Amino acid sequence: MLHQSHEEERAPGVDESMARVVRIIVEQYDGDVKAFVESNRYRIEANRRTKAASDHGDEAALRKCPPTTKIIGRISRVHYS
Amino acid sequence: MPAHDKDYRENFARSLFLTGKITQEAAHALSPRIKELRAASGDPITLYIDSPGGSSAVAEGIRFLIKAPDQDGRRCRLITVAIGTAASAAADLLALGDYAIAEPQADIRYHGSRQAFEQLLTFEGATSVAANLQEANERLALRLARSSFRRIIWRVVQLEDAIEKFRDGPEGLEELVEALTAKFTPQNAMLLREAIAKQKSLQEVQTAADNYLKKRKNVAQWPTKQLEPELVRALVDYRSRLHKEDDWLLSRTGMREVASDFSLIHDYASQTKDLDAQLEVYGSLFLTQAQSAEFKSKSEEEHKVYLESHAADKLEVLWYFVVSLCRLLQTKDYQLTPEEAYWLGVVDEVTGSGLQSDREMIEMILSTESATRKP
Repeated sequence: MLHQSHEEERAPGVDESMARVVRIIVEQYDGDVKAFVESNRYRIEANRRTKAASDHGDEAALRKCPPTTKIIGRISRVHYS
Repeated sequence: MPAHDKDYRENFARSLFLTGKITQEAAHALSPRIKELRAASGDPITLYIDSPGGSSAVAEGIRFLIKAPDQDGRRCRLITVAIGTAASAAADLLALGDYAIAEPQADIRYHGSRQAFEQLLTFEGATSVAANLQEANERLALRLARSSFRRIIWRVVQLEDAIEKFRDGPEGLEELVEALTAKFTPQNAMLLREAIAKQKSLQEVQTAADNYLKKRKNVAQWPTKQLEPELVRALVDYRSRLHKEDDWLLSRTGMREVASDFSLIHDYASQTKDLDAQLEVYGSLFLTQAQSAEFKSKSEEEHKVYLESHAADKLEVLWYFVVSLCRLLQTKDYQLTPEEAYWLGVVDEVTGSGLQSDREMIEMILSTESATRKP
């Protein structure tokens, strides 16, 4: 037999999160769920690309640096010569 | 870095594996780890499932142990993840997760409650077993419907043209369900068509009973003891009118039909509290453009009343449909792909599928908020 009396309750915070999603969809997207999802996906993808491009720029800057062994070698020469 | 919400994410560090048959021994093996995770924090617990099923009572026991409150009343959220087979009691357990995830290789199977016997059965014994199985199926169906309902809401609002018609009125439900069937194999699409037929007959029974009871004075104030026999009279009246051309008698199949109608109405009516809570959260998704504009112009206090008069009827027929669907899932064998389980409201998310999920929507909002907070 299943335990009928042990029904759990949903966490109120979680329902509140979903209520917030619904409010934003209704208020800002006229209830159009697809428009909400697609515009956010687009924005997140655009942010990701911008970040990737800036990370790529850092990598380019790093590539201009001399290899670590050379740096250590130079420090060693300064220290121990 | 995109925002992550731990309430919607699997977490291997706080996880359990339910593999193989669901037996009392399997539950005993999991119990110490469950207690350990609950004692460590109130964060969600992830349950990975690869099981052909087993005892429904044991599966429920595992779920209750994970979600039981501690001495401070704190409860852990249950995230279920199908990593292989999730059949029978394991499929129910998957769906009953607060957030249910299916991996693309998952195989999800449903069938009604079964009971194995070693001894020979008498007529009385068989009748009692049949009644128990029916009761178990009913209870599981309603529990499944409660967790699937909010998921189905998010599925149907994605069905663009059909949802517009449904927003115009509850009579658009059939078209909405027809649009949903396009997501299923022909065999599983039949499940949805059968569910809509059942939903219609339930609505008919409900309307007939309402019309009969309306003729009684102050019926709303009647105690249950007085109301129930009157409801039986209403149902006998409805069935005898329905079969007026047939040789229909209570002593043949009639009593069974009336009893079945009675439990239907009784079960559905007991779920209205859930429906009220869902109406408050999701009701505004079922307003037409004009209603939505009017709704936005109203105060917070007026919102509830507005939703009751403009969205409750749509949510109610959708709820009846979901219950009918879950009842059918408990009667025959159904094998679902992860995507079908998603469209049926059994799971919230299919990893790597690109299908919209609660997690994605919540994290979208969190990431917008964190971006606007940055200087």
